[in-house]
Amino acid sequence: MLGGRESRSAAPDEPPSALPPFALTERIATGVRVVAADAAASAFGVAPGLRLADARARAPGLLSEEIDRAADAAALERLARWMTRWSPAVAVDGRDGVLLDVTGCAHLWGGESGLMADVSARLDRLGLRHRLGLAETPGAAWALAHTASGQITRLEGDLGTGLGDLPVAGLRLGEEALTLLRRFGLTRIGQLAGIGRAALARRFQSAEAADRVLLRLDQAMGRIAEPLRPLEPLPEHSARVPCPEPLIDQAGLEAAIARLVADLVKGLETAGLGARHLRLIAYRSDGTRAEREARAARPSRDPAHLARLLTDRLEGLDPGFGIDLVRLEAGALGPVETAAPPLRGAGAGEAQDPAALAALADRMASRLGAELVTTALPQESHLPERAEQRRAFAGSLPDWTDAVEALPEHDGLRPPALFDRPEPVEVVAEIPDGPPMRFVWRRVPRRVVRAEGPERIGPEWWRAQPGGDAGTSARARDYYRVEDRDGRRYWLYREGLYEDGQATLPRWYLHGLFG
Amino acid sequence: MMLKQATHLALVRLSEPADAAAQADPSALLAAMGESGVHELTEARFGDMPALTALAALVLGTHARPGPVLWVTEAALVREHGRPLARGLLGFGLDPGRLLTVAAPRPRDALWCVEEGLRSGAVAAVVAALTEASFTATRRLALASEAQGVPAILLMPHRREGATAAEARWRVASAPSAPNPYDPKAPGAVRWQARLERSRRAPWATGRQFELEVDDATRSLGVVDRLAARPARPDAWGAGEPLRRTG
Repeated sequence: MLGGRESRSAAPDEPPSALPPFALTERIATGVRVVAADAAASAFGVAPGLRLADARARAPGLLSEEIDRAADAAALERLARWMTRWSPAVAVDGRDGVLLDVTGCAHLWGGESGLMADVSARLDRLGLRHRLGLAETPGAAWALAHTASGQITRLEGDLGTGLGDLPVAGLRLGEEALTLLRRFGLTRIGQLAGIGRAALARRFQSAEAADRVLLRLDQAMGRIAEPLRPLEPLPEHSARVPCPEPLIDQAGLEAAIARLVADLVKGLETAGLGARHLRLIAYRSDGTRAEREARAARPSRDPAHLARLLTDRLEGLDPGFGIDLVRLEAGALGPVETAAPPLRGAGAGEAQDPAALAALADRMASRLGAELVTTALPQESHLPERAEQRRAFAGSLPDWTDAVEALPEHDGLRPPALFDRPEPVEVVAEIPDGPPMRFVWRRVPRRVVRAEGPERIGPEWWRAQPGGDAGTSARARDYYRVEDRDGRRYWLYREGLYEDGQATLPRWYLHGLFG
Repeated sequence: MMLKQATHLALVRLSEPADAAAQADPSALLAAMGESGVHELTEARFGDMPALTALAALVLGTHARPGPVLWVTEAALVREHGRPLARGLLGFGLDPGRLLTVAAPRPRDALWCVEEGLRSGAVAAVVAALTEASFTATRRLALASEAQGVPAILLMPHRREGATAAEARWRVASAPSAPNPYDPKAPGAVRWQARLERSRRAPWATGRQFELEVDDATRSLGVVDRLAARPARPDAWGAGEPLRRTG
C-alpha cells in the first residue's frame, strides 16, 4: 500500500525569495485562517491555522486567496485517476492524499524502490511537492507518508517496529483524541501498543473515543482489514504498454493498441472469455489522461475486431505533450460463442455468421453511436408506433416468426414508412365518420380519389396521459388508407370521434406513407 | 420461414411490345437486383421514396438470397419521408427479423456503413436511402459489392442524375392502384411505374417503362388490361351528405 501526500508549490525550482509569499485562506467561524502556505510564506513562519491578520504581520507583502475546496477536490481526483498508471486500485484520501494498492505491481518498475522513485520523479515533473510512504497496510503507509522524517519512506522491518517510533499523529485520529493522548504522555505509536487495551480504554471518557483510537491502531497494525474503495472498478483483465518515447500521433497509438489487444486477448483466451466492453486509457506526461470506450454486441476476443473498434474511436483524442503509457481494460466479460457454419444441407455456404454480423454492428455503433444501429422487436400493441420497438442491436437479430403467426387475419395494412410524429393535416371529410375527401399536407392540397377505412384502433387508456399530445391522449383513432389523383397512397387518421364526449373536436393526422 | 403475408410482385406490361427484341422480361430485370452490384432505385418525383422502400422490400423478399439485410437510412430522409416500419415492410414480403437498421446522421456516414456492410460478408444484401452518391462513391460500392457477391440497392431522391457505377438505375413513381374487386371506392393492388433509365446488363432494355403491380391476394402473375385498370369514378361516394371542414 502506497500512501501519498501532495501539495502544490508555486514554482519548485525557483528560490523562495523570487516570489512574494503566498497563502491560501479559509473563512471559518472564528475568522479568516491560513490553510496552506508556500515555501516563501513558510520561511516567514506562516503556517496553517494562523489568522490571516497574524500571517500578514509575520510576512509583509503576503498575497492570499480564498481556497476553492471543490476545485481542489476535483484536481485531486483527476490526479488520482492519472495515478492509476501505477495501479488500477487508487483511492482519494482526505483532502490531500492518494492511496494506491500496489500489490503485485512493483515488479514492473523493478521492485518497490523503483516504483517509489518513478512516482516521485513524475510528481516532481508536475511540480507537486509530495511525501510517499509504503507499507503493508493503508494505515501504516499513511503514518509513514504523514509523519516519517524522510520524504520517501518504506517500512523497515515488521509493522510493530517500523511504526513504533512514529508520533501518534500518524494514526489518523481527531484533534481531541490527539490532545488527550498527549496529556497522558503517549506520543509514540509504540507506547500505545505497550499498554493493555482495557487500560487504554479506561483512560478515555467514552468507550467510543477509545474504540476509535484502537481501531486506527489495529488498522495500522494490520489486525483489522481495511479494504481500499477504489475510484474505478478494478478490471478483471487489463493490459498496459509503456512508451519510452511519448506518443504524439495516431499511428503510434494504433501500434500501441495492436500490442495491448494482443496481450489482453492472451489473458481472455486463458480464461475462455470474451469482452463486450473495452476501455482505453492514455496517460499523458502532463498528469492528465484521456479515455476511449468501445462496446461490442457479443463477447469477443478477436484481436482484429477489438483493435478496429478502438482505432475507430481514436478520432479527436488529443495526445497533448505526449502519451507515455497506454492501458486497456476489458469489461462485461462473457463466454464467446463459436458457431461452426453448416457444411452441407440447408444453409450451407450462406453468409449466416452471427459473429460477423455482430462485428459489423459493433463497428457501425462505434462510429455512429449504439442507439442508431437498431433492430425492430414485435410488441403486443395495436398502436402502430408501439407495435414494434426499436432497440439497439444486442448480438442477434430478433425472431419475428411468432409475431407473424400471431398477426390477426383482419389487421389492416401497415405502411412501409411511418413518421416518428404524426403530422397534422387539414382535412375535408364527411361528418361524423366519412373518409377524407381532400386534405392539405405540407401546404400541398391533395384530392382523395379512393379511400379505405376506417380501421379503428382503440386508445390504450392504461398508458394515456389526459390532455396529452398526439399519440398520448386517450382517444380512439380511425385510420384511413387513401389514394390521391397521382397514385400516392397515404395513411391518415382522425383522432377522436365526434360523439366521444371530449371537449375538443377530433383532429386529423398523417401517420405514414404507402408509396 | 414462411410468411403469412407473403407477397409476390406481378409484373404487368400494359403496352404492347414494339418488336420481339424488346420483349424484355421485367421480372428477370428486377431479379438482377438480388445479385451482386449496385442497383439504383430513383424517385420519379419528390415523394416517391416510400414507393422505393416498398419496392426494395419486395425485391429482397423475392429475389435476394436469405440472410440478414442491412438497411441504412440518412436522417434527413427519415424526417422527409418517414422511417421504415417493420410491419409495413412485412406487408411487402420482407421478414423484419432479417433487418439491421442504421439511421446515419450524415451522408458520408451512410456511405461508410453501406461499404462496411458490403465488405463484412455478414449480410445478404444492403439497402440504403441516400441523399447523394458521387460516381466515385458508387464505384467503391460496386467494387465492394462484387468482391463479396452482395447486392446493394440505393434509394435515391428525384434529383438524382448523372454518372453512376451502378448496374442499373430505375426511375420509379407511384401509380394509381388497380381496381379493387371488392370495393370500387377503395384502393386496390399497389401499382408503380418503373422506367429502366440505365442498365449495364441489359442495354437493349434501357428506356423501357413497365407497370408493376403488387399482387398480394392471388400470389400469382396476372395480366390486367387497360380498361379494367381504369380507376373507379372518384366522386362516386359521399354525395348528398353535408360536408364540414374539420381538422
